[in-house]
Amino acid sequence: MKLSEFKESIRERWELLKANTVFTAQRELAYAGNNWTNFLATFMYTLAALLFIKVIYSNVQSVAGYSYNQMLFYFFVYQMTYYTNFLLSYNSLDDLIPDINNGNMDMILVKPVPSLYFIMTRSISVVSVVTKAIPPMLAIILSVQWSSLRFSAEEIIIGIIVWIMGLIAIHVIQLLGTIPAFWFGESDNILDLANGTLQASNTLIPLQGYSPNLQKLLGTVMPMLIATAFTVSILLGKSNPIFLLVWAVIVGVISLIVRDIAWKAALKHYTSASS
Amino acid sequence: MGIYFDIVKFNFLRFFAYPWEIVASVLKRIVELLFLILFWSLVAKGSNGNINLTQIISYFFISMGIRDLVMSHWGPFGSEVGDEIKSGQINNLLVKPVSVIPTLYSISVDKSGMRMLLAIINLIIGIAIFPPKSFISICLFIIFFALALAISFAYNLFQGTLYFHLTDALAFKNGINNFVRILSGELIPLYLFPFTIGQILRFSPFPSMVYGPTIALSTSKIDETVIINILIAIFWAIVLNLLTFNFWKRSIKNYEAIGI
Repeated sequence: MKLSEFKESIRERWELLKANTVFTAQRELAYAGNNWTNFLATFMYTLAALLFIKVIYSNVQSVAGYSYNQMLFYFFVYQMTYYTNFLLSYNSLDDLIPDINNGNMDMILVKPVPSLYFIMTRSISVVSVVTKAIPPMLAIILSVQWSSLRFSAEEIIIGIIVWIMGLIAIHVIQLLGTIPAFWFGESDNILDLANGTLQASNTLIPLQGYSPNLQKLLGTVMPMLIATAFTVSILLGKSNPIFLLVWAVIVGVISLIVRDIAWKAALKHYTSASS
Repeated sequence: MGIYFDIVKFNFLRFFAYPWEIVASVLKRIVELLFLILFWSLVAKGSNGNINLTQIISYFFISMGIRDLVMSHWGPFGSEVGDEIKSGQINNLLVKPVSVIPTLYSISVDKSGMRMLLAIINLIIGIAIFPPKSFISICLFIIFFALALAISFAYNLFQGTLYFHLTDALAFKNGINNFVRILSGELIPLYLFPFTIGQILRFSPFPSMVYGPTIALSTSKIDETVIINILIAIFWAIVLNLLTFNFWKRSIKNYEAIGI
């Protein structure tokens, strides 16, 4: 690819991202009531989860070596992962299944834009995430006793890289849970299985709570632990940061390769009235 | 009555058109349980013997079964009512010679057919792990289960009726559900709550939705506490159903749609 072609491709993608984000934001702002109820819902969820952690720790001193405050920090990172994934991946993929099912996918494929990129950017709901995420995240931030947590600059940098790699891995798992719709016409429950596993594996079970074999399985074949469990373990100084960094980068890169192969295979199997 | 059974059968058979979807829902339930067991084994380990792992695993098997059977978990009946109102499809039911609420209840039962089957399996496994202590336990379970069904019905109908008044009540409904999951004992047994909170919760309708029937299976005698708990559940079952039906009637009276 020539440099000018590359520049044009980047410019096109930027324009697409801008247009999709603005359109989604306008659509969301049209229903102010929904934004308020979204805020209320996630805020209530967060309060319920904080109550849950409080009740658990009124019966135990630590869970898998994590104190109450460390578990609150774990929950903070998990929520960051959840909202970022919701913003950049889940929302768009959830919209894709009905599109395949009812033939709307045709309309996407005939557009002169990169299809996967368009699909992944068309539902980036900034307004929804701001109203949903910021107030509950503030509640968690206020609950954590930050003075008792100490992070080094090295741990923070490595933690952020690992977190990004983990987000990529989760996105690819969700994509793999969505594309069976190209073959079977439906994959709501398969995507639900991917998300259910993701949530279950990250809900208050730190890395040290898993056996070494489970750590390997959920860190490689189904890389669900990287974004939250690995990141928190690094930031709290409970694991070797370099080892987990190398692990996360390898998994992240392989995930991207798998994503491209899977998407091409899915498009090859897509059949519709007009193709 | 036959028509409602036909509705259940029809939609349940439709679900079998996608066999991989069935596999996925079964796998999801297994995965959920495995992680739940792992989490509680970590908690039990940290509790220095205060939490009995077998008992708590049995608790969650049974409570997961009950929550799905009575539909307190995310309120599928409430969602069905809400979706019909939101999409305007409720108009089709209003002009037909069927009772709207039983029809929508039947549709939501059949849509949750697979979940209900898994719930029964859950319940059986839970009972096998920690069997009922006596015949009294079984009788108490039946009483509490019936009351849980009535309270959850009112809870679902309330959630669904909200859609007559809000453009999209989904987020609000989810918010309530998250709290109910904790307060009903679905996520954590109420006996693990600090004493004062546990006592306050006891007088609310939430524990009767999941915790009541679950714990009834390990109750071997009828004492003052059990009688008070039954009376509380009966009170809420009657009051909530009266209030919710009133809310439904008022809402549908003010409902305006083309052709109605």
